[in-house]
Amino acid sequence: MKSIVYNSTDEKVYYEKLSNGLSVYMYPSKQARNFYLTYNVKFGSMDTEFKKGKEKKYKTVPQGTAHFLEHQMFQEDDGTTAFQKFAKLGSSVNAYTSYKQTCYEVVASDHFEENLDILLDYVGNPVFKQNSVTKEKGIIKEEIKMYDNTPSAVLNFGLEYNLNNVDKHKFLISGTVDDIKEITPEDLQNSYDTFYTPSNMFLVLTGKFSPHEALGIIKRNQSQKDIKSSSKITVRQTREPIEVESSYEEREMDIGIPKLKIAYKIEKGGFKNLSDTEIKVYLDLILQAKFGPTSDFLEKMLEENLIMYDIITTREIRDDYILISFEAETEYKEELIDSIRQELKNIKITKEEVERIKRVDIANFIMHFNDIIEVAEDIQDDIITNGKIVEDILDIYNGLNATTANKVAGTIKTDNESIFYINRLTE
Amino acid sequence: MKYDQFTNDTYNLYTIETNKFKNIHLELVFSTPATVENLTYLSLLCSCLVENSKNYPTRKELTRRLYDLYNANIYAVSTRVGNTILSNFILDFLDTKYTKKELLDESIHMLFDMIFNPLVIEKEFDEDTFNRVKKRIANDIEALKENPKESSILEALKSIDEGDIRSANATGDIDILNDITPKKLYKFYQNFLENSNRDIYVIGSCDMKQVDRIIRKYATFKSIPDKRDDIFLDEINIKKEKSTSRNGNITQTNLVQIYSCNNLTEYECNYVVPIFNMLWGSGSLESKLYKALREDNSLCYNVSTFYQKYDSILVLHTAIDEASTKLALKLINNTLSAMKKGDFSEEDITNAKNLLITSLQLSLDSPNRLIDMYIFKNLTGLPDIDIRIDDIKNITKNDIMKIIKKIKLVCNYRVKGAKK
Repeated sequence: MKSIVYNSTDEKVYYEKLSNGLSVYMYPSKQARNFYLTYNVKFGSMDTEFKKGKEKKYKTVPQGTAHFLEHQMFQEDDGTTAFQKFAKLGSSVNAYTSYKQTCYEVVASDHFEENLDILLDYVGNPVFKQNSVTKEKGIIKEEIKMYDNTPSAVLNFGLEYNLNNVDKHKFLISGTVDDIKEITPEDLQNSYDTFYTPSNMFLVLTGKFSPHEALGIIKRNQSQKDIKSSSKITVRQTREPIEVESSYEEREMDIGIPKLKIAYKIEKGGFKNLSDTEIKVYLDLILQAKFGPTSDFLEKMLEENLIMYDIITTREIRDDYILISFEAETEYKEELIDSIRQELKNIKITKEEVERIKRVDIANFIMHFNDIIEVAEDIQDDIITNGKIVEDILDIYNGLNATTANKVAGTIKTDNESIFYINRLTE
Repeated sequence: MKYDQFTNDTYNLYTIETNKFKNIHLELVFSTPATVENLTYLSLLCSCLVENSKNYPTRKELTRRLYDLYNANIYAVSTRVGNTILSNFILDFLDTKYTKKELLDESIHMLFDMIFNPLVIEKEFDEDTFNRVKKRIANDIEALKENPKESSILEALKSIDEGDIRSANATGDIDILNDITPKKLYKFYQNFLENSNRDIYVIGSCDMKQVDRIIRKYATFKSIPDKRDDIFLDEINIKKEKSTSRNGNITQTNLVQIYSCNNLTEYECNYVVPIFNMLWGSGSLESKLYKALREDNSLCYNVSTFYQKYDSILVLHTAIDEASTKLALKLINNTLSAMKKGDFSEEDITNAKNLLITSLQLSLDSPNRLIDMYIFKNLTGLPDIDIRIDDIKNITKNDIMKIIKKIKLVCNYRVKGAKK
């Protein structure tokens, strides 16, 4: 068992890759009363065309298959559900699907071994029966309709649809009601057989437990299973152009204040000599310093009544481009859009701003170890986006400087812009 | 964890010394009577007080100072609990072993300075700040309709009794808000500081005697508040259930039922109803309602019940296709009728107990939830977690059967979905 120590801290993650290919990450905490277990599959809504090993043809499954599969995984062979087993232990169980990952999670106080075994067993033993697939379609249809009534979901998914031409971020993680009508037990089985293999999965355990005992339980559990051979998985790659598919869309909903989201696709090539993590940290610094609550820009927007309170900024490094976005509630969309464009063209980061944000980053990093769920999420994110734990993150924060920040800021262009606006109902 | 209490003429300080966490968490909790007027004034006042201060007159300057204190976080939350509004002013900052010792004093000073030294000019809140925050609160009130679940529940409660505080928007009332001026708000602020009950809670790895000394220096309250009242609201007593509906601008129908929970003993309120709630519609995805509506009939993605102890009500909510309403109501009724007849097993009860115990134990890993438990212990006499766990274990099927008889449907409400 290897240990990965976050530089300049006492915080340690234990890691082992089992002989079947399953990776295990463990953050034991003597302070915690509870534990949080996640079983993760590198299979998300974007993985709809794939092949395994030497297969020549790609298999295609409908949008929403990963999410549908996640719902179906709780069904057991004998007509019961995994929920029933966890309920007996008093454990809280859930699952979620993102663009690139499916995660099964359990949080509990006691019965560590039983919880871990049930988690490993139910994700390892799927049942795809036609009647339960049909039943699940009704449930997911209502889930999709719920998002239709949620302004933030409409804003986010609407913008993604317009930003992307062929990149799979374009499509709803759940799929549409029409997509899920197409999903068959065979689609689920094909997806499961391809992606739910130990070498494409990883466990993250955090909280109250002994890593040696945990590893013993996992090894014993896995040794009792017929492990499928782990062939190389190939997902058909798309090549997303830097241009957005649609630059503006407006929709009406029954809302209080209109909502605006504006996003930019940025070329990846512009960030020389920086790791993806460094790019993310610098973009966070720039967005925080120039659009956050300590910025002159936000103060001006508030004074001019162009926004209600905050501008929420995000950044993400995707396969073919970098995305930055700005979201706000506003009655004056034209003025706000113009102001954001202008500000992005004139970014100059000062040393004082760097030092201020650095303190925030360091404090947030230390405090996130308070919460075993946050630690697990951080590890999951590292594995999905970097393939490994970023152990030198504190060094990256400590090394932040204005020169590099300004170089990164200089690569932000506003040419490839898409805007989504939700207005009040007019009738 | 070492619990302690420091008494003072004008407030009490309750502390939990522990090295479990990497931050220090402080809450200054005011309690005031729950009226719609107070809810509205407190939404505005709390937001104004954490927006800026005399020493940091803009939000930008204030946030810069907080960032310099290693992202010390100061915010305020007003929550109605029964007939009381709790206004919590919260300070979170990094344990000073990671920064500098002086930051203990400086961070605590910052919070009290914001409360005692707001941006007030000639007995009026600064007009710019006031107008900006007021507009934001008006938006928050208006934004309730963006949350079909919350808005349909409040509408359901309004359909029972429009004047009942249970049906008030937590952010306040737009007409009352429109009537507030910077001067009126300042008057309210003075009265709030003088007459509200107040307690201070601190959790973290620090010398609590030193914390007490620091707080004594800055918490310069001038008066001794009156004794608190019981926080339970009067029970709802109506003879016949009310059934109402309206058309909504949404795709799903939001179905709400309100049940009165009257004449319960303290034991039933604290333990038995929460277990019934778990069994019927809350907690696990194994609840009776979840199985009937979602698993067996695919009617919904989510159905849940929640017990509002201090309001003496239990609320049921689900979002479904309008065409499924009749079936959903029938299934809801069937599950409750079955439970009334005792159609639930000892295993069901044990599972619900285990879930409730786990949810209590999860609190032990969160400074905020530990403080919450301490607040409610002082406010309502809720026992310590160990006693609560023992009491939960002793609940019997007979206890549950007894309280089901006391739970009565008082309102059926639905916002109809139709729009494509």
